[in-house]
Amino acid sequence: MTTAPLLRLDGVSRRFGGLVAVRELDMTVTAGAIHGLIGPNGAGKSTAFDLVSGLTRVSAGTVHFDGRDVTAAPAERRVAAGICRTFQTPRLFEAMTALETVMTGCHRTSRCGFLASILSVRGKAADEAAIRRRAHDLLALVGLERAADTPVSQLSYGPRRLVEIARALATGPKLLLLDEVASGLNPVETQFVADLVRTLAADGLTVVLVEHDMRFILGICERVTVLNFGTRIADGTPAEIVADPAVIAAYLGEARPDAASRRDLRHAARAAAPQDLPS
Amino acid sequence: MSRQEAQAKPMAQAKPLTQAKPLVGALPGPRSRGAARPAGRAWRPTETQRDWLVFALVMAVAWLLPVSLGGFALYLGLIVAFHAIAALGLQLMVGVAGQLSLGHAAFMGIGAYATVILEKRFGLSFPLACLGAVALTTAAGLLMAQLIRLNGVYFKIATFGFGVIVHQIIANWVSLTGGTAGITGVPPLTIAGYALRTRLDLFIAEMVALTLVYALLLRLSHGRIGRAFRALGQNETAARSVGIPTDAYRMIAITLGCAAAGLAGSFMPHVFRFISPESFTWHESVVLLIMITVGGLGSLPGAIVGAALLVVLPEYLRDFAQYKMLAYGVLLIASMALMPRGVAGLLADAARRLGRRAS
Repeated sequence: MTTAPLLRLDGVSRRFGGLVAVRELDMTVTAGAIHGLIGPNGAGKSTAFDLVSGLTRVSAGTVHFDGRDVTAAPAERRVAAGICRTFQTPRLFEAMTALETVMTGCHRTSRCGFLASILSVRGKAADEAAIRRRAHDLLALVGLERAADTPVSQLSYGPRRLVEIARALATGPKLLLLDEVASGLNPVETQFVADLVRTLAADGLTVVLVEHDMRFILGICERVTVLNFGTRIADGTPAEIVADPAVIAAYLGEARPDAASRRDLRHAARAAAPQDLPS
Repeated sequence: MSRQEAQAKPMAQAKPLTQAKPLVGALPGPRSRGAARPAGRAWRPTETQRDWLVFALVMAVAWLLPVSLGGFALYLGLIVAFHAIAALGLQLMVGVAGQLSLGHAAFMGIGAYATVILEKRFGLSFPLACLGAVALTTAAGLLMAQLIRLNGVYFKIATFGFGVIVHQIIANWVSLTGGTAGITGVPPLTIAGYALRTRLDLFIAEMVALTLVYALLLRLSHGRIGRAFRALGQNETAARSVGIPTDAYRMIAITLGCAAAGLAGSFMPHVFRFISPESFTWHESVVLLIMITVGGLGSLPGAIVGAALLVVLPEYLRDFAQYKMLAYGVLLIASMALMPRGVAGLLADAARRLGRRAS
């Protein structure tokens, strides 16, 4: 599959004082792909997401999205360009209902400004109705139609994640960044999210996943980038990644290989790509 | 490969999978939500309709109660009305958009002094002087927001500092403001050559302003703009992540809050026929914050109820005047403990319970 890259990071670095969270990261995400970004704790995965979504500015390097340089663009402009993200711990609007939370995601797709908000009666009502309908559709997509009027503060962890995904989808993204979307979910919910991600990708959405759960990511991604200490140490298909000595060293340590985890890795890789795996 | 797997395995729960387009596109999907009400159910107002019902109720009481009681109640009504205007603006800024200001009385001060000075020195009529005062407070609010482009607790402390500075300027710029002695002999409020000499006239003018401000902010609090303010107030990072330009919305919330304080301030000298810097100290700012908290943070009618409570109660507790701040403190703690969502929250719960019993 050779399509134009939707997202391209060139030599992106981010320093926090003396700490280099991300160091000269190059990464290319093809349009329509499900791309994984993995690495041990503190490898800089979430920082990389912050840099792509514009919540943090890069210290060096450039970010290109959809053929345009968005390095200097603030978060709201990147959302307008089509980048939207979720967070490692869902960040919701705690006093809102699930439906209202998803409706906030429609901010960019509606044009009802200040004057219209004060003066227009019918236009505003039509705008609201359209936003409400769309939010309902998205809640239905993530299986939360019944929870529409439930305050998000009363939802349990899994549904909170799904509300956040629906809110991100409401922005009409081309690229969806999911930060540890499977963590804290039970197996049924994890399966649901995996299916949802595949469905979205089949619809033409590009998805980047940051994940700890190897089985999850190797089973779902077409391409994986591996970070360790802020540096890219590998990039390739799941099968290539699993066979990469640098990745094994980063995850398992060179001195004391953990047999169980290694088996785990290989098992997951086999599930993803049985015939590519070196036996 | 995983792509093929994905297509081979259909998802169980999610419904609109078959129609791919509306999901990713910017337009709403064709499926309508089950909008039809279940048959036999009583009419339930939407949230917007409910807010306007409350608006009508609160405004009816606010207009009619002081007028029908007359006398001292009308005088209290004059004081409640301008406080309510300031509290409404502060509610949007603090209760809704989460931009806590500890120096809000300063903006009332700027509005009050600007109005009197424009009227007395420059002979402007009230509408012009008021417009000038609101423009000046708005500019001051913008200036404050720009000068202190800070987040979180730093912004709050800086607003406190801003309030103290404004108070000091008012108290010490004697040639302009009369210093600590204040300005006496404020002319009656004049609109289009007609002087509002009676309390009733003044009350009507104030109530027109209050009604307009309430309606305006209520309109703004509904729909896309209001949602953006609430998103900003509840989780700024999340708001940014969905494409809400939070810096702009923060600025607008601060500006609206300050403009309302300026408008409130421009009525104040006409109510008391006198102003002095003492009315604009930091603890007046705190009283404004107590008003919106007791009324219910985030609730516009709550701001009006809170203003009424904090103006009227002390008047009937005059014997304990020296314990005024103590009483406010107790009131604040008690209201936070007994009704964390304020009077508005308490009434909303009561209404819901009534509704459930009725159905």
